[in-house]
Amino acid sequence: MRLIAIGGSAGSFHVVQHILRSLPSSYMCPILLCLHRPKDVRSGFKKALSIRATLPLVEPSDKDPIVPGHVYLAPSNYHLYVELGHRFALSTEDMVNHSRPSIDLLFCSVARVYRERAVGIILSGANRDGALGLLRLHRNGGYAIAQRPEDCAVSTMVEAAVEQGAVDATLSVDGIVEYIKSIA
Amino acid sequence: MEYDLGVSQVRRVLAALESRWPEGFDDCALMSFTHRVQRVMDYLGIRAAEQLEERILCAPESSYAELVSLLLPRTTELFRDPDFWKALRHEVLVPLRERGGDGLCVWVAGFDSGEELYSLCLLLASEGLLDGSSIVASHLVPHDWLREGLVLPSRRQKIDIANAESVLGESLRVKYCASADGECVLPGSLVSSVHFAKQSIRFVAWEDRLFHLVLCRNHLLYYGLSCSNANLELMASQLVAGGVLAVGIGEDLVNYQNGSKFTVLNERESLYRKLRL
Repeated sequence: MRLIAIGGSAGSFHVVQHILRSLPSSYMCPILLCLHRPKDVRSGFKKALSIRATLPLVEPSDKDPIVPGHVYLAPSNYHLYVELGHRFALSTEDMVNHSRPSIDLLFCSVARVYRERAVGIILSGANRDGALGLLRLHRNGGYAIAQRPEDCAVSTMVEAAVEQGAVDATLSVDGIVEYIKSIA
Repeated sequence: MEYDLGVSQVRRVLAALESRWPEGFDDCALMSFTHRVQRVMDYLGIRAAEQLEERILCAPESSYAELVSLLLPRTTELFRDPDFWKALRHEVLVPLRERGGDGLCVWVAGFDSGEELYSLCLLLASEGLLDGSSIVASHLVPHDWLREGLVLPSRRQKIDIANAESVLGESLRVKYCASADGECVLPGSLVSSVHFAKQSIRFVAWEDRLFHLVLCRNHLLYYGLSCSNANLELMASQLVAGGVLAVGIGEDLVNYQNGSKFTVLNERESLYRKLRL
């Protein structure tokens, strides 16, 4: 089973909304979202993201299975990992890159577990979280995509990934949507 | 995050720990453990997992406490998830007080670095239930040092104080968690009656003890299904009928085979009640 992990921060919310609205309802590849989000907003964030999304959006609990045809959103104030055996794991440990959930931690676990079946996508954001994780994913045989820097509200996150040599392609938002559709 | 650790390397570190100190390290959640191993390697200046493995196997007994504190997860906020603590007050403590109860028997299970225990004691104190309560706090290494007080890290103070105010209100927060010289120290008197005890990763039954409340929040996260299922069964057996189990809001008992021993008391805040059979 292939798996897509998307990380983003400032300026990525509407991009993710656009992606989730553009996919067919029959889309089967699991998509994991790690978006920097306010710590104490537990349900409104997911609700807003779900508006007109074509696939079910879930905030997984620890040890929940990863099920095809679903989109998973890292819960507020937890790190999200994937474990061997296609299950999620959560963690409450210290912030990484001032973030919990951290994109680096998710991408590193996806890189270790899914290797060449992994796709990592980094979007607009104001810190470097995700750059190192995307590099790991890329080195483990996965495909690494960055949103085109000139299209980002804040390009720090994608530029950090590009600097690391982590990126196989930089794409527009529509280009990202078309790529995701192509690997169904 | 400099070292790229493979799954097999991390498994060998876990096996080394288990062989040196058989406490249940063999069923840890691998990915979060990998992150902590990387941090430990950074801290110790070690570049290869094999070196850490060797250090564990040759470690003197005296280094156990330090190694455990580095490798096990720490609690990262005071009153983490304020809505949980409010629900605990509303669903458990206030009804108890209204029935004339003056305290309860509580087990703080899991490897809390002090914040969870102090949060509980603060909440009980705010409801006038601390003096009448009997509390056991367990860890791989008993945390008696917490009797000296808990210093909240300055980098986190804003979050801790905001959480405490949300649960206790400002005046009680100031009473117990006042800052001085940039530091916030919770008084050791809050935990003076707590019994600090040793407990393995794979829990062992307390003899002759039943609890009204078990707090095991964000602990099952760090272990595999086998260990977590066994621990959940053990916690169920240590609760009185109708007793309450609190797990983390990211934990769902539906994922555990012994989850059926409980009914939901508050789904959003992951409060469960042991079924009366």
